[in-house]
Amino acid sequence: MNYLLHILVMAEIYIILGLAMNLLAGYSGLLSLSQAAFYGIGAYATALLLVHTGYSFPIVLGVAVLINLIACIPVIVFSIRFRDLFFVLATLAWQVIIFTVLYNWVSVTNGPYGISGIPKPVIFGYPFESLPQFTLLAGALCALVLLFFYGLHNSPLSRYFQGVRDDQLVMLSFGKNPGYYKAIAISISAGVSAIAGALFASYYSYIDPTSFTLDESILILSIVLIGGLGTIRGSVAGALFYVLLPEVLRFANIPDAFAANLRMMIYALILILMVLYRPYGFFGNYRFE
Amino acid sequence: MILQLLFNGLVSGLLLALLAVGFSLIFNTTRVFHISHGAFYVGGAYAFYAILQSFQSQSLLFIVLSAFVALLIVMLVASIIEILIYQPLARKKSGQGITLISSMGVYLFIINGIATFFGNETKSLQLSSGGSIFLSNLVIAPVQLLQLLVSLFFLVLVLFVSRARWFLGVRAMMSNESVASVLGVNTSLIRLLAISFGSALAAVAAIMTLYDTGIDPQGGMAITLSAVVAVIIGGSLSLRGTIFASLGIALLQTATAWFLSSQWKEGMTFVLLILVFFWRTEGIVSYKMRVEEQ
Repeated sequence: MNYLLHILVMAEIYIILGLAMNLLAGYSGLLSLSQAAFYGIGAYATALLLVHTGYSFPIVLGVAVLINLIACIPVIVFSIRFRDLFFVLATLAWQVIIFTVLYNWVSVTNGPYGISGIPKPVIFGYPFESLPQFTLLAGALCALVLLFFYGLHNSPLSRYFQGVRDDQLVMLSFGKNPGYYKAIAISISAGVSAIAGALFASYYSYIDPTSFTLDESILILSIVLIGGLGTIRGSVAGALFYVLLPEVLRFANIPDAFAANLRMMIYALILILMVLYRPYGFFGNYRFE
Repeated sequence: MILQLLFNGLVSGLLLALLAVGFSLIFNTTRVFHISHGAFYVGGAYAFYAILQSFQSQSLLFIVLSAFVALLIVMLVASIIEILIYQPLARKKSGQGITLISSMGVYLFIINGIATFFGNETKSLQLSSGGSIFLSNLVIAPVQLLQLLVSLFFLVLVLFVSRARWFLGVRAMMSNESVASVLGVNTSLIRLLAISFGSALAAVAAIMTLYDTGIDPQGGMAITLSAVVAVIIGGSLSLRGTIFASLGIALLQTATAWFLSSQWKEGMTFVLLILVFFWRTEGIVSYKMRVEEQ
């Protein structure tokens, strides 16, 4: 039972991350590689505030989102100044810089040793300590995020994002400033990633910088690419597929030493095959040219 | 001390230049943003390591021979990737974003394949002979001498080849692929050659590094990213610019490692990249912005 709940929590975290990524890659056409940085900043902000200040979880979550909104300002500048490969490289650079800071700023982040003893969330005096309770909390947050993105998907704002993605010039001639909509999309995406980071930090009660590397960014991007860009069920399907794949391998009796690497090999192979033969992913309605 | 720092920077800069020149050749001819360069870097080193370990011979001839076999393996795998993945994508006129993603897939696949077979530990080799050379207050380790000579040899070779008459076809393809193919340049053959020889250059640098600090499966990405920064800073089409930029970046990294900590190296490299982006946006990307969009 605990095993199933653990998978559920992981799936909920990755669904949130996938939705946040999809808003950038799928709706706004921004191939960002700094998603793990925002995930990491959210996790670190939550961990540090919970360990050192003892504020309750909702306040900490709010502060983490705010910190991420500040940390995404460079990405907004990149998205306005640079196009295509330049934007990808700039976000990649931002990801590496954030990781370097997390890894080396020992006095705050404790460097490579990470932060341990992160308390479980307490909301209005009610502790979410056991695994079923935590699953419920993560599920509730995930449902909220899903609802939010569902509303966004049907809102005019989403049309503007897609307009910016498809043709900036047309948007300009309609009197809409593309940079403004890119900024909104990036801020929402970074803020939502902070929620996933907060859940991750309080779930494991220990974090270190190696969870937030460039590889993780590539993984988050590939989740939405495999699931499908530009639809909500695409990111959900991609996240579920990513979380469930290792469990399938576990039943195939593959030794643990190989399992992690083998999982990534299979995953990479599927990514390549998708790019070659089905660029829309499982449920996408947009593909990169 | 400053002299030692400069020398260390020079040696690692030449190694970086091998990777950067390889990346530049691949990027300029195929327009593939070849992130999996790092995988071929690691792959070359591991192929060499596996051959040496399975025969246990220490003769110089054997070592050189197995280095060549390792390079051939890398070239073969790179050609397979080109034929199976990059060429179909190019035929579909896919953009750079999607080829970049496919290249990331290739990177993840090869790296994790290597880690499955060899484990995640760092592998390194020892040079069997030679003592350090002392020049007043400069110490040259035998590995560094080897790295210096071999990488200089390959870089001069590449610069020499790039002056050859038949290389004009490659240059034509670099500036405009479709026109070049109309005028009778065999573009698919040039693509194949560029990818295999570019990857082989990365493998040369990797084999040299194997004798020095060693290589672990995840180690390819960091140095590839540095090489990419060198290509961008050096200007896309200029091999000499790429080499000078590699030297500059390596010097910056050596100085960072010396004065701060080696963990800050990558961060510094990318701060430099972002500064260059703002200062000089034209460069590696062929995309021209419409005037209205700027």
